[in-house]
Amino acid sequence: MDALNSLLSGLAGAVTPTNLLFVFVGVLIGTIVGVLPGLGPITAIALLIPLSFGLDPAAGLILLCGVYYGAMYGGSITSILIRTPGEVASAVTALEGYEMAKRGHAGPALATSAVGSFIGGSLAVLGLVFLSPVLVDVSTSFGAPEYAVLLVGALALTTSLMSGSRLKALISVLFGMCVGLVGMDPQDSVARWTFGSIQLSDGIDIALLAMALFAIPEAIRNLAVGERHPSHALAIQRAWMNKRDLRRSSGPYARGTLIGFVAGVMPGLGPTLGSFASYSVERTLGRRARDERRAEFGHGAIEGVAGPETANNAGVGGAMVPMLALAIPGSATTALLLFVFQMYGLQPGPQLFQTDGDLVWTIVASMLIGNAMLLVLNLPMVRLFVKLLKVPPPLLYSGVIAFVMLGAYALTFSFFSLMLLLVIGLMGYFLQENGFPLTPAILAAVLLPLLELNLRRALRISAGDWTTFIDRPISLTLLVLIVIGVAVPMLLQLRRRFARPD
Amino acid sequence: MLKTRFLAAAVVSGLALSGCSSSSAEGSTDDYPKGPVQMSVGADPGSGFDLTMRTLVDVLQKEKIVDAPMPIENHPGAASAVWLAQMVERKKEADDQVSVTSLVMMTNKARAQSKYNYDDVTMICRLLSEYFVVVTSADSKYKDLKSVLDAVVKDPKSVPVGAASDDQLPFALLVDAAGGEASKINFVAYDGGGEQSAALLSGDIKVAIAGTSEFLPLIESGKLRALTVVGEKRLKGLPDVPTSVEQGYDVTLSNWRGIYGPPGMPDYAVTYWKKALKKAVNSDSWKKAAKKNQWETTFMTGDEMNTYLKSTNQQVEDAMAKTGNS
Repeated sequence: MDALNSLLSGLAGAVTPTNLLFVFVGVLIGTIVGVLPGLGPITAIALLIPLSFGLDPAAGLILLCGVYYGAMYGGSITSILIRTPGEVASAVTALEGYEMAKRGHAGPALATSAVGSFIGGSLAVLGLVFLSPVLVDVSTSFGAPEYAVLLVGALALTTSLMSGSRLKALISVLFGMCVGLVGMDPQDSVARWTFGSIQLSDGIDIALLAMALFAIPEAIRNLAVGERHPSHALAIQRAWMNKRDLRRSSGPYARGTLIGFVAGVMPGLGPTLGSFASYSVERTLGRRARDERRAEFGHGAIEGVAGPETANNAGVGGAMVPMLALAIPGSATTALLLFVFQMYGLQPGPQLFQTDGDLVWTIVASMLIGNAMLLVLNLPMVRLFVKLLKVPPPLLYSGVIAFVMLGAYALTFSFFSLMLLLVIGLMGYFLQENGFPLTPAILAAVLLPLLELNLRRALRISAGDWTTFIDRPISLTLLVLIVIGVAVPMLLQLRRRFARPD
Repeated sequence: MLKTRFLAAAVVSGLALSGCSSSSAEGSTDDYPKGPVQMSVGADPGSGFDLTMRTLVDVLQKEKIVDAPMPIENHPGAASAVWLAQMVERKKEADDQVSVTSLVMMTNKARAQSKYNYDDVTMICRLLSEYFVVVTSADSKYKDLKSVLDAVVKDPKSVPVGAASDDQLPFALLVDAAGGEASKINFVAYDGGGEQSAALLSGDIKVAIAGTSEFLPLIESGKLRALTVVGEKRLKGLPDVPTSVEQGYDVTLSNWRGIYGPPGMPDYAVTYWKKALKKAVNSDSWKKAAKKNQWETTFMTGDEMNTYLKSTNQQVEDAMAKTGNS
């Protein structure tokens, strides 16, 4: 109960008027940068660092952490309404969320994402408080071979996202892989697919790819149709979840919290993969279900919004575990937060909770308060946001294009990003109009570079010996699970075919 | 709502400023700088470059050394080589462009990943140095630098060494000094100290090298063991860790960070910034920030700096030749 006492004393420290103000300001800024595409928590935190120089450590860190988890809330809003992910972890929310909005269910989608974010965010903070000592060891139990195997599994899961033509989905995966390969290779710095352009040597930003493949094709399609008024379904939006929505969301909330938290704890994965994994799991479960969910996935299933949104917020709490306890950041954002801690003369690492316990508990407690504030802030806004869909399509989607171009430009402040956005966006438009699903492309572009990185590291470390994947117990276990996961459904299908020879 | 506007303003000003071109008209020492001076960072927000520049600008403003506005802009790409090329090709002779660079400039050039080097721009000063440290996990069988290097010399494949691609050079030089073949080292690339720490703790790699600050928390907590600091003098932060020179390996390559302007930057501007930066690093706010960030201020300008850059560049080229341009 030590942790509980510490948390309570932390809460006492966090509810001072100034600290509450900084929590509020932090989550508000976070929500706004989350909404703006291209402008993610990293940029916002970097911009705020000079300002936080002047604050005392507690206030500064409360503010910047607030920006981080606030951004995870904001990112989903534009994903759902206009299919423009505000930040990468919310890209997957666009899949079902935007479909829901098209059917007049933008309200429930926004509401479930706010509630899920709150649940995931808060439970992850509690996980951070009570499970941290155990999880520290877990977070370093995975080496390159384990990550490589896990990512193979994740790639295999992407097949569950395919609907319609298998061949087209496969082509989409290959397209995504090609995009993922662009840039310097991660081990030997050899330029691949850069056509000699120095701007391409860092590869193509996933945030840019998500904007190009989600927002641009949809905007062009809407503009091309020439519809001057929002469709009937768009104009009448239900503003709130009903009982059935809530019931259907509860399972994804629980699973999303678990998946997101674990993905956050593992330094090699992070919140983005957590939300993708959660979506895959919900979709796989949906396919097995015998009710309306089966048909709804791909056309606006609420589970596909609730799960990933819960997961990406749970990932924030998870990512704090290795950052605070081991000084190991799992993502670029936590790396920056780590730096801010050091800037205040605090040294994250095993001894942090002893040396600066009061401060850390105050910050952790502020995250609980901040999550509650975000819920209160976001729920009333749902009604307001839904009105956005009543804007006539020509105006709305021209706005989207301008908005996305601003976001792409803000990634590197170069004209090149804009060109890249337009080229990939046009490719995306033609792919979409010809019935190619684009989600597999984005998934492949996220997963392939990670897989390559870990596969090649594992093989370097083992000096080229492939048995490294079956020599290690965790890696072997994961491999067996993947084989079972792939083989069992195939065998079942075969048996069904033999049982019914008609 | 103030914050909202602040952010929006930051974005919009960023847009506006990068839109306009920069070579301003003739000026003189007296009224320079007349307008805003663009402080560019060729890397992402939050990177080492970015934080150096933001700290510097903060000090220059707080200590009232420079009155002119100094908007900071990030132009990430290719380990800062994208922005370096812009400075050389598009900002020639401008007096209102200042940027930050480091050893990376030299390694990029030596690897042919950048067309330009320190002598293609106007170097204004060296600001600070960061020393490399070689670490193992606390339970490793390697207790000192010698045992690691001997093992690498004997069977390079069996000792995977974790290093960001820019941090491989000092280790290659150490192996070379120990009589091994630098091109045979089994380097595994990681993206900075966080990834390396995770890999050391999970047992993936046995040995890693990076800038001191990257490992400090875990060295202090005893999870990692520091075997050596590459250089001549021991560091204040790690007084018990012997240097490479002490242990008989004559390798002193360290990372530096400095400030530069475009090629042909007018003399009055160069003089102005030299003076301003010198004042900045001697101020209390800089000293405080440097201590917080574990930066070793090694300010240097003029001939002294040029000699240093030249010899460092030579070391980089030599090392690159030995590692077979890995």
